[in-house]
Amino acid sequence: MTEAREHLNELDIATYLGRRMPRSERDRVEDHLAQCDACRETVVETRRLAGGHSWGRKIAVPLAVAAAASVLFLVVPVGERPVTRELAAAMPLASYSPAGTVPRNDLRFIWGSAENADIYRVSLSTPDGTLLWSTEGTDTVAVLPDSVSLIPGTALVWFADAVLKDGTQRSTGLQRITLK
Amino acid sequence: MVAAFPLDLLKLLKASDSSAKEAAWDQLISSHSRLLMSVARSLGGDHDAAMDRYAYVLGKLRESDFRRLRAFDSSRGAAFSTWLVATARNLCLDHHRSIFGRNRATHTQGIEGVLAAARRALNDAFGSDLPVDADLIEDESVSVEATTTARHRNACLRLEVESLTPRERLLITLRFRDDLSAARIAQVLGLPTPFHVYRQLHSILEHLRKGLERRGIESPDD
Repeated sequence: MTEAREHLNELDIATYLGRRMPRSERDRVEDHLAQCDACRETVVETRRLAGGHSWGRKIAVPLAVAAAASVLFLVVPVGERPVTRELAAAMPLASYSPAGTVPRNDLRFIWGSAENADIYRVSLSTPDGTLLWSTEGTDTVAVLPDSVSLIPGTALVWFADAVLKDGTQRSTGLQRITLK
Repeated sequence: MVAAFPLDLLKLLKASDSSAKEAAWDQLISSHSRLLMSVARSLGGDHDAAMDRYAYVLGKLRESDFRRLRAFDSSRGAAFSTWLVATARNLCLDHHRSIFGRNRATHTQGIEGVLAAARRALNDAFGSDLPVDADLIEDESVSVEATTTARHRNACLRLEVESLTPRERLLITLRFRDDLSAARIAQVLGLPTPFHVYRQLHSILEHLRKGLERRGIESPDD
């Protein structure tokens, strides 16, 4: 860990929030931010004030994908405070199963593959964010073990993430299901 | 990937005469005045104080033939509006300091802030199972043995914190030093949802706990 004494300039901050930094540079900036109260406050406030201007990358995607994708607003209660999440059209990982109302037995999670994926992680949570189960591996299928006990009629949320070799991530986003 | 260079900024910087420059400046400010006013208001005070800051920012942006605006560089992917917010905010802080006479910190806090965050995170998550209380070191009423033990625990925690990635250190600092919500942290770090924040925090805390256990810190008496 370096002694990161010099403050970040505005261009560093804007580039960092634009999510376009190479990994090594991002590490340098985040190393500094962890140690510098002033710069961290500037980054947090800039992100808050700039709002959606720097959120999500403007990545060129094939026209068919762009036409098929849509921006969704999903309200998910987290603890006491509801939050809204915008599903970025440019970064989805396809989710195939489960969906809707599903039986507990043989609960199998299936999602799409991502190019240059290093590892996949899948998680199952309650709607308030309590993690029930998580696993990771190189396959795009995972089966919930019998040892994880769930209550019929419960609403749950699952999502899968692909961690790419360059350190970035793609996600299925939150997938709501209900147990039969 | 290069970000788009705003057309109104380009017009301003390439303007050939003073009237074209003024017209381009008016257009640029018109496009961004709401954002700049939000920044000016964000530092508190009444309407007059915000307007003073706003005027100060505009004056500084115009200074030396728009020297600050000419410094904007989109080649690394920075969005102009984000850069403008960061620049305006720093100018507002300079204005505040010029009135109240406080200087900006010239150096970072170093690892101590991250260690404090890690201590709080471990104490919140595991209670008294993993006490790494730095206060013991400074407390003269505590025995030499207890002080030595506390120093050892702190040294172990420092090694474990240094083994985290920069992003992991930043994440625990945002959560346990700045008390930001998971939603806010997700926005700052570009994570898809607050759930991703919770999961990464859980993973970091487990990593720290296991690391300390490997170093022999498992109970209050270790």
